[in-house]
Amino acid sequence: MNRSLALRYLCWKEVRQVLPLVWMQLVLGLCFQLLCLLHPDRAFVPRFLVFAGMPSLFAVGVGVLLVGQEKERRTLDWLRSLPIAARDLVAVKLATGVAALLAVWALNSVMLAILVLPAGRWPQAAPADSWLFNTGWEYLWPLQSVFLLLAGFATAWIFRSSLVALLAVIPLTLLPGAIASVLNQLVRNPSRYNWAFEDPAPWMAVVGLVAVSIPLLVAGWRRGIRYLGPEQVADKRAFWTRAREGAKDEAAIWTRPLHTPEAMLIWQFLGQNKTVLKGLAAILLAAVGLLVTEPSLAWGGGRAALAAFLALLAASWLGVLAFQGDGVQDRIRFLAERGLAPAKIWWTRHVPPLSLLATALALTLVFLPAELRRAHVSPLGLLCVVAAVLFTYTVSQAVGQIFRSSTIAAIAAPVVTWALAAYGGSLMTLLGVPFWLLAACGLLPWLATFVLMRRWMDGRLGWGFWGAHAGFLAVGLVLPLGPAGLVLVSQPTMPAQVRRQLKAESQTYGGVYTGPRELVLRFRDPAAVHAPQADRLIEGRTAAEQLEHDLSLDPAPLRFVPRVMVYLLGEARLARMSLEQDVAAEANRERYRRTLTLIGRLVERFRLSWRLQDQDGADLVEIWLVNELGRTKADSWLGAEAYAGLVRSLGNDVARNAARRRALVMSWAAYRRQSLGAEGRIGGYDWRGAEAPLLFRVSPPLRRRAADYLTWRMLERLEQSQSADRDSQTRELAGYWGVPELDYGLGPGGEWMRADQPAKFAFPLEHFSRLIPGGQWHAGWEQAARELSEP
Amino acid sequence: MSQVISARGLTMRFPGCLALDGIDLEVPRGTVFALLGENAAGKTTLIRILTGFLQPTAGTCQVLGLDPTREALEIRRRIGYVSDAPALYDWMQVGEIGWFASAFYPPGFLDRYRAAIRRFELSAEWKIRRLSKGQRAKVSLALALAPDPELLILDEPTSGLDPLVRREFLESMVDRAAVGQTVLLSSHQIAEVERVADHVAILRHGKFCLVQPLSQLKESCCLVTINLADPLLALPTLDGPAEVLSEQTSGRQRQWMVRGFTGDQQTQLEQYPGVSGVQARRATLDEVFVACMRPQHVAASESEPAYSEVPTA
Repeated sequence: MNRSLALRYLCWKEVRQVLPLVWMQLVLGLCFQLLCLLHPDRAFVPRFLVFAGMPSLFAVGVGVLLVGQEKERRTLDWLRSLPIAARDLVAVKLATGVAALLAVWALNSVMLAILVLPAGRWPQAAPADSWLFNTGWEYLWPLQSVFLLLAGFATAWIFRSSLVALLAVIPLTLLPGAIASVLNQLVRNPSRYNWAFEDPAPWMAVVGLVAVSIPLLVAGWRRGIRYLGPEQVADKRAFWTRAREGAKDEAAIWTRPLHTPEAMLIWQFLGQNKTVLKGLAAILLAAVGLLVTEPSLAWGGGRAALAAFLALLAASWLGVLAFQGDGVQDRIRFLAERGLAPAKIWWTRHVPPLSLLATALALTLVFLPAELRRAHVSPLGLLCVVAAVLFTYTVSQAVGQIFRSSTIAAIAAPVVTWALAAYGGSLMTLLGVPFWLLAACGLLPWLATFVLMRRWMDGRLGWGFWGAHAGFLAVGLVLPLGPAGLVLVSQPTMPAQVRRQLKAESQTYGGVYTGPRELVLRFRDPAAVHAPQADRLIEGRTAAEQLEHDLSLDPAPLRFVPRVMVYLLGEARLARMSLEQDVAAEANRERYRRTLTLIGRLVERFRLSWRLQDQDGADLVEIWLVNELGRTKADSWLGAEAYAGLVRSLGNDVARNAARRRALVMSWAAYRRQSLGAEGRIGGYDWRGAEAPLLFRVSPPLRRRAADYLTWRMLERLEQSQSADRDSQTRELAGYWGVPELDYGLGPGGEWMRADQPAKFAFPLEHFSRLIPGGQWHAGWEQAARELSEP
Repeated sequence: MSQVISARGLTMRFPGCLALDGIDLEVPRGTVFALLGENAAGKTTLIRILTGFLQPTAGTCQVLGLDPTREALEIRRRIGYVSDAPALYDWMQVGEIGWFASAFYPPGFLDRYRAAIRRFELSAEWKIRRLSKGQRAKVSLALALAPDPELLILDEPTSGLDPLVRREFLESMVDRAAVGQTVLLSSHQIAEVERVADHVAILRHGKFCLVQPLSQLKESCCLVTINLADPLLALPTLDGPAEVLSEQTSGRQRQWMVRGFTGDQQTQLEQYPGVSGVQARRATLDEVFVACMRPQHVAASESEPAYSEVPTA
């Protein structure tokens, strides 16, 4: 025999065997990385975890795939019959695993580089991620993956079932950490018996990993050679097992009571999976134990996070077990050949795993300390936990039906679950997909396995089977996009041409979106003034002087601040009342003139602002001015020059509308500049609270689209003072902004504050802060203002 | 006689392979129907279609009056089926698997199963994992027989069985047929099938070469040996309804497998110039099978070219 040729051919076979796992981790890794691209600002930690975690996952599975799967399919027995030394077989498998792991690291590095480099820079980790970076631990991932590979190989050689071998890896993974902790205790705090709170140093972790890896390598090697050597038959059962089995004599078998088919099927499921079920029950118990002994259920506590990880892993593998237990050696054909109803088999496969999960949940609730239960367990929280566990289970059971290899299914199931959960989460945050819809889509894997049960039982795993599963997956992925798609299709938006025009227009205004200056009454600021002003007259004068001083210092636009304007308008009202009492007093006349002139100057500054809200504030103030200047003696009180200046300004519709348009365009442009997910405000208005369609409110891209439409409609309203569909337009705008329709055309105070009849316009100060976007545009007060300005 | 299985134009096409090519089949009630054919002839495909595990590309079939594509589960409940690679639960005991399966059948299953495994000399306590291939086959057969089905479909049921058990099992099939039950079995054990089968169908490349009651087949098929002066001598075609199924030349001797061969035809052949003698005898099923599988054959020792075409009557 040509040994080198034989080894080469063996290597070729092993590589072929390991390729599905390589592809699977690559595809899943790529899916995760693409999902991360949806959140460019928060993607570094997930990206790194995918980059480092996928090879580890591969390392766990490769040993079981190369050894455990061959055991289950009995091809290892054929290999044993070949004239190849056992050590060569073991060595080739191990070498292929290591080489494949190196290749996977390389491929993941390339993928990360391709996806990250276009951004032009390496993403920076946030300080909060220091647990993962800059501690030296990040360099231990490759070593850890080698350790996992050796653990996987050792357990695969030791155990007959692939799933049991995978389960056995979990407790082994804790050993390096335990050794590192002991080392930490001995080195850093040798005199005390309490555990050191400081984390072990990276070198301690290295020692832990190496210390466990070497015995695993030896154990795996020896068990492999022994397995491939002559079979040693010995009754290794414990004496009590032998005694118990001895009691199962023939008569005992025949006299067993007969049960219903359903009960027998559940018995059969438990019997064929008892070892794996015991292992998973132990994991669930460990998770429950960790949870109920955790002093606080905060995620940062570590134990709660580990418990959640273990519980979800157990849920995932229970899901895989639902169908993989029958898939091993085509056992399911036994039931298929006897014409058992697929539906019956389907649900009996789910009863034991779900019962186990329900028991674990019940145990947690029972043993969770009362104070923690009160503090952390709410019906909604419980529902979320149940939903997470069920989602993990339901996706995994579908994966278990899809993959024929239990190893690949067990590795893929948790990863696919997490990928789909990440996808669902992204849809919730980006498109505002409602939870109920995602929950409904989460039920699709149940439906898929139920519908395809007959095909699976009959072994008809052709294109029809895969296509149907792919179809269900596609429906599950696309269905949540439905509402957003419907909104996109049905909801009108700003025409592209208008958008381009507005964009260009916004750039002509300078594109400066820094907020207008805040209007402040300094003497009212408790931090600035120690003693309150007692005399209102002095106070008013001080306020006017301060504001005039501020205006003269800085020609910047001003932000409409209701409390300042309420004060000033109140001051003007007091001045008028004083004047009405003593019209001859020059001080009263001066106070009145000074205040109104100041108000007029402020309105001019408001009109300079790019915020829509400031324009609406200016409208309210101008309405007040129209009302005030419409008084019969206003011109004589103010003096001809001041009066003429104010009414001229009020009557200038063109300037007012130009200011409004600029503010609207700039507000829209500023809104579009905000990054996805940022809290959106248009021109100072809280857009999130609008009663637009639900998805618009919670989905940034759709909200932006709606903002486009709204801006366009408002521009139309601004430019068409008389429109045939004004009522419907008003209704639509009111709906988008989430305000009563009545507010358009009426003042916020109701009928006696009608903006279209300035003569009736009184000024309830308490309502002044309530601004309606574009609420006073083209109302009757503008006509009144024009009439005032006419000679 | 009513038909337990009937098929019309059954076609099964796999990618790159035509497994069944429009076959017609009638299996009468109360018969042992043997399905013979070389490897990859389409026997298992046919059985999988009849049991509803495969949907045919074209054609229709009925089993016990039911359509396998729509009522497969009902068919499987009513038949006993042993596949070519029976699936068993390794972790169960021999008795335990019968106890488990009894839940899916009417009462009486367990008693019959118990009797069957006793007949097959199996212990109820043995773990299936530890059984030999033949013992596993026995368990599968016992499970298929236990429901006392009106139709048994057996795909290579005796493979792995020792000769004694095989003989006993096959003879029990005759007993079943005698009480009106039907057995469809596929096998390579032609000599044994010959002892028990009522009807025989020979499949080749997805088509039936021959479907006939065994008694008629034996009556009609003759192995005709013709001694020739010249090995290359062209013989005359036989008049109908005789049909030459195969021709084999070895030296100066030519052998024909002929269906419907008559004494007159033998006389005519004997008188043909260049023919020095003609002997005819009834063919065995094994010889008919080989003839169907190799319609034209020249002995390996011969270097001369054989006839370019098969003479037909």
